[in-house]
Amino acid sequence: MTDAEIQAIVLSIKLASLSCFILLLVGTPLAWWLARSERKIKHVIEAIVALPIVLPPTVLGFYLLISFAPNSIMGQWWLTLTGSQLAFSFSGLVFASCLYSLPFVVQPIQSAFKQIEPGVLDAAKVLRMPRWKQLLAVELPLAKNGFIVAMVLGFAHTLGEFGVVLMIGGNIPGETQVIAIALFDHVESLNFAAAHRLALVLLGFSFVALLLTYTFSASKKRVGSIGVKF
Amino acid sequence: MLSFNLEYLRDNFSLTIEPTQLPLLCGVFGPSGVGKTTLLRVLAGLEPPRNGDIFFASQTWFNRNTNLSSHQRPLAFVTQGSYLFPHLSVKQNIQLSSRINAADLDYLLKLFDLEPLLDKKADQLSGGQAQRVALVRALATKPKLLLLDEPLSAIDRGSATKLLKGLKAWLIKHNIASLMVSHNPEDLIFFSDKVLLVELNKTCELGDSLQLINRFNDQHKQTLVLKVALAERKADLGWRWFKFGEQHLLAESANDLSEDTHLVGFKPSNIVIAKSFVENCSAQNQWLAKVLAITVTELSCLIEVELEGLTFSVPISPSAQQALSLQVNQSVYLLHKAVKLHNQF
Repeated sequence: MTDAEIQAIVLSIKLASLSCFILLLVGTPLAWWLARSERKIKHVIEAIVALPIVLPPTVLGFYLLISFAPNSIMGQWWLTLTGSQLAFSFSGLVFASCLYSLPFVVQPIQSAFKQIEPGVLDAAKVLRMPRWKQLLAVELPLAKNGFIVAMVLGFAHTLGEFGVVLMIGGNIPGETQVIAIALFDHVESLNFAAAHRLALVLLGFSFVALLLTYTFSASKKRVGSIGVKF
Repeated sequence: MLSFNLEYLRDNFSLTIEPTQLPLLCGVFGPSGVGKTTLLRVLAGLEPPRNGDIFFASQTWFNRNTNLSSHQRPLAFVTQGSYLFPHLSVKQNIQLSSRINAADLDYLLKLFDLEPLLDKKADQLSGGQAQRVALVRALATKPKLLLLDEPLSAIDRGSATKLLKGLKAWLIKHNIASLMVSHNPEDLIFFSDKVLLVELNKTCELGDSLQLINRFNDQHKQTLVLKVALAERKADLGWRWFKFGEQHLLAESANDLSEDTHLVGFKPSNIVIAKSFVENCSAQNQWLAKVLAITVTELSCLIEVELEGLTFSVPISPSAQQALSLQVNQSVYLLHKAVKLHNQF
């Protein structure tokens, strides 16, 4: 494997880990609210969260590129805050990845929260547990499998990103060139041996990720299954 | 003490409960689907009432301006499904919300025979074991009000009787108010002298548990309960003679009978009516009663009788009535097989 390829793999893993971490922080309260809320607006939020599943990645990438442009409000705000622009930077990649992988993290967690027996939640309430204790001691542990599935899917999905990453990050080695883009580069330059190596890495990783997902989805007990909507 | 005036909606009907001052322990009784569980859920704050108010001690739990959430109300609620936390062991389930000292907890664990189960995961327990854990978990929170919805339904009768005795003693000792929903009349009558009768589209009635339950069960052809005392007459092992008024009753009994009064349930449909005492008969219970009324229809005949102050109807066939020609105010003997009677409390 060449240095550039290793660099692309390391960058991809760094991007996937960071995105996954941010998504868990943001996605958990969002998933909890979507699982528990009975407000009508919840369906609007659910649709927005699920958009990246059906939207072509280039559409999302295009809108992000426009939003991140240095003359846009968001672009200017980011420039003032950090001194660098979001487009064609690693930070821009992380932001785009978080948006693109949001449903893959939120939906399994939301589903896991929903699968918890309502009687168990009621039991926690009528045993006079404060709300924080109900959440930490009962809800989060019972939704554990949903979190594992969310982490695996979020990580794997970010690792295999192409369209959004290419639109927002371009193809800067060491900065924004992830595995999928490096693979595309090899194919373009007819270096099929190198393309095979990277494709095999992605294929192997995707298979392991799906295996883990199905294993944890199947290991349900009283709390029910962890459904993932694709 | 708990008092409430509630109107709540369930399956397109409303139920109004007038302001009531409940005793420390109170049973809740009524037909299936009338809203007994909903009543407990409303009191626990798990469901809002349509309108009304709930007070406990001098604290307002619910009214137009206030609605304390469940965890702010000093209560515990044991539901029919135990709903233990499946990811925790029995010990962790109890300790998670426990507020009692170690000695009290040890006593409860012994009382409910949970010591051998402490390290088991909650989802490995049988229904009866889970109910016992749910009861201890609730008592360990040191509630001021304990709501019980069929708390012994999955436990075998022998154990249930012992547990109910222990539970009642604990509640009285620690001055814990309690409402218990149960379909078992003996359980309710043993648990409390007062019962809240909840019926469809009727005002809730609070009254003497023996009277109300017998009145309701007579109308619904269910088990009636006799309050009896131990008689001196000797019986075979496992059997006891009891007396009520001037009458004697033989029933199966495995209990230690140190208490003054006992409860024996019977079904009027198991009674045979005779015009005189029957010699050489296997029915060991022959009680002298008086006919109060006779209702004859094409398909059946109901003989309303009075037995030591208890009034109920015995169904017989029209041909049996033709053969006996029973008259109002006539004295009759009610024959009941001893093997169909069982003393629980």
